[in-house]
Amino acid sequence: MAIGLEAAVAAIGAGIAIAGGAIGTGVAQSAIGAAGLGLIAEKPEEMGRVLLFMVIPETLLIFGFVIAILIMLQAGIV
Amino acid sequence: MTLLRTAPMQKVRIISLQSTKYELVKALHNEGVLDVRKSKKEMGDDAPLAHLPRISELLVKFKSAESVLKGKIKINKIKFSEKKHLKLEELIKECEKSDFIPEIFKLSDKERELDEEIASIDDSIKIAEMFRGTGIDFSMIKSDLLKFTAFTIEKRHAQKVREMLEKHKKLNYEIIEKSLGKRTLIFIAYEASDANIVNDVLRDFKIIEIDLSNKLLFGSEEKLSYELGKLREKSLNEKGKVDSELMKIASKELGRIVQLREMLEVEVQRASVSIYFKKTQATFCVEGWVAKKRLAELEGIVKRVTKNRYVFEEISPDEGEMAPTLSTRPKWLASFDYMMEFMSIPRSDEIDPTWIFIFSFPIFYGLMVSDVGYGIASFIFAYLLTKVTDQDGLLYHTAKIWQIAAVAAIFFGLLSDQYFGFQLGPQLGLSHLIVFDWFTNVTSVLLLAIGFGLAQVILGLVFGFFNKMHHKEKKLAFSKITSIIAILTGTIAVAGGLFGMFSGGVTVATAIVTVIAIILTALLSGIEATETLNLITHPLSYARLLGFGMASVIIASLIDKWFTPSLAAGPISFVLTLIVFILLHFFNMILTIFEGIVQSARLNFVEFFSKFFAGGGVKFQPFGYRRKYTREDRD
Repeated sequence: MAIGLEAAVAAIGAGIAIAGGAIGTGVAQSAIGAAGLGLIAEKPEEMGRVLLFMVIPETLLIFGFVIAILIMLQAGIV
Repeated sequence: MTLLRTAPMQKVRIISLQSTKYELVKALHNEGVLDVRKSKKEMGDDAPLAHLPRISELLVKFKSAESVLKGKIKINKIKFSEKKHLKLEELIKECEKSDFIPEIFKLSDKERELDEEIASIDDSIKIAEMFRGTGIDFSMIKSDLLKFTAFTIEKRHAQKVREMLEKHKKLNYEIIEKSLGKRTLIFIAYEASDANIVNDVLRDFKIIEIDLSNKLLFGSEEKLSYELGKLREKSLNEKGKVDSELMKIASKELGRIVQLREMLEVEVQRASVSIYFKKTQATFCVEGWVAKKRLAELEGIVKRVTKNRYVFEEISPDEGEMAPTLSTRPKWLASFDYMMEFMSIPRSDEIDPTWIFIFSFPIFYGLMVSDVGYGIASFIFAYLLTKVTDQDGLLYHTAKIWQIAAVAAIFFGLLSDQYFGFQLGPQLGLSHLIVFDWFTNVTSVLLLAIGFGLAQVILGLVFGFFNKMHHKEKKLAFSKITSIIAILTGTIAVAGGLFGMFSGGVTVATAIVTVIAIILTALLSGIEATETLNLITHPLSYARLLGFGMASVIIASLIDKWFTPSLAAGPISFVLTLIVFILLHFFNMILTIFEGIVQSARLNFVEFFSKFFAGGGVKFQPFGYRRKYTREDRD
């Protein structure tokens, strides 16, 4: 399947948007995860709450995803 | 709004005669209507009932006996005859004449001693095995004149130890060595006066010392293992006898012990509750919270038990005291309350968002899973989980919610025409019935997801308005209204400006209103103004419904696309492909279900609740006991 230069650049842009969000999420989750595991080791009953805090930074990835979808919609890829 | 409030509560004070205290406490305990609180009335503090130490001691004994016997026989194997709660004196008498209790403790001690003995024999057997073939006679290690050291060391260092010992000409010693794979066993016998020399030599080596003291080591090593084996068998036989004695007692008496323990627990609660009371010489005073709708019922109980000799007052809460939170939901929805408690209990003076959570959680989960097959599998797994988990535990309640949410997953699966990633619509010529097409209609699903977000965020702000008005914080309340205006007009302005969905005039006008609304919000409340950015980010965050839903559907369809052709390539290929096919779908399903649960909870707890929910309520805990093995007739 051949795609035009504009669509290709848009696809790369969408990829960067997702990657940026994913990296940001990963950095934040590594810190929360480490602290959360420490808490669970002492208070296993806090597992649910830690899990909830753990997923909070995923919003960054979701924003990346939304931007990627918007780019691809504008470029007519999806 | 009544639906969104917890049960209205009333604080009451009951004053009656000391002579009716036990009967009133008993009646309150049986009915479980009053959440007893420490009274602050200016009267003397009451004390626990006089029989508390006696029944507490008995309770400890019965609990210990129960825990010993529960290790022998499963409680669900016991048949309980329904046992009526005994009167206090009869209960104490029956507990005290239970002569099997000391016997249980005696046998339990004996069993523990035998366990220790067997463990010691096992240790000695290990040492005997290490020394096998060395010809050593363990009788000599009891000598007072000689000292003995045994250890293992890395093979390459064994020779060095020997050389170092040989350097000490005055040292009189005997050494035995045995290869143990990568390590060498060394046994040294030397005069007690030379202990320092040997210790100095060994200090430089990494050795694992074998403790020969307090071990059952006797006679020659050839016979030792056999003798120890005999001793072990004897101890095991004895333990078997003790065990069977305990089993016999368990099958005969455990039911009775459990019932007596339950009665004792009830009596201990009743005897100790009076630490919350106040008293005079002739009267006592109880305070607590009761649901308003049971107020008359409570007064009726007091009236009946005290034979009309009482004072019943509706009183105001103490300064800073908050009414407890009592949920009014049906029992089958109790798991949602459990989940809310897990986050934070709603305060009795704020809107209880649990009903919204009950509806939105399954919708979000359903949208993210959106597959009939995964939905049915979720339902079955959740059902099985409820059967094998403890009914008071987190897993049980999660499974209950999961079961309800699975129905939504089936519903959205039907709307999306997804059956383990397959689409049946095109084959059956029913494509026009597909409502959500995750492959071709991304924009619609994205708009729907953000639409859910906008609706929930606005609803949160509306709740926030009512909460603030309830607390007479008018400025903060109106800042919620200006936030709602900002979010509504801002959405129209963005839709018009970025996507051309509205005319230029509408776009500009709504943009101006948005700016004014934000400025007004900032003027009304600094805190609310800091939330302005969240008015954009929180609805956008609901795009995860599309993200996770799309990921699940696409992975499922890819699995089908890759493996379906191999199913027709012969019987062996069919079996192998089917296994991989099931494993991959199972993996995708677990991932989807996990994300579905966590993300649905998160959207509610973070994006929605942050708009209005304070939490930190105190759960209504009525004075009472949930009996399992006994019953008590109400007078």
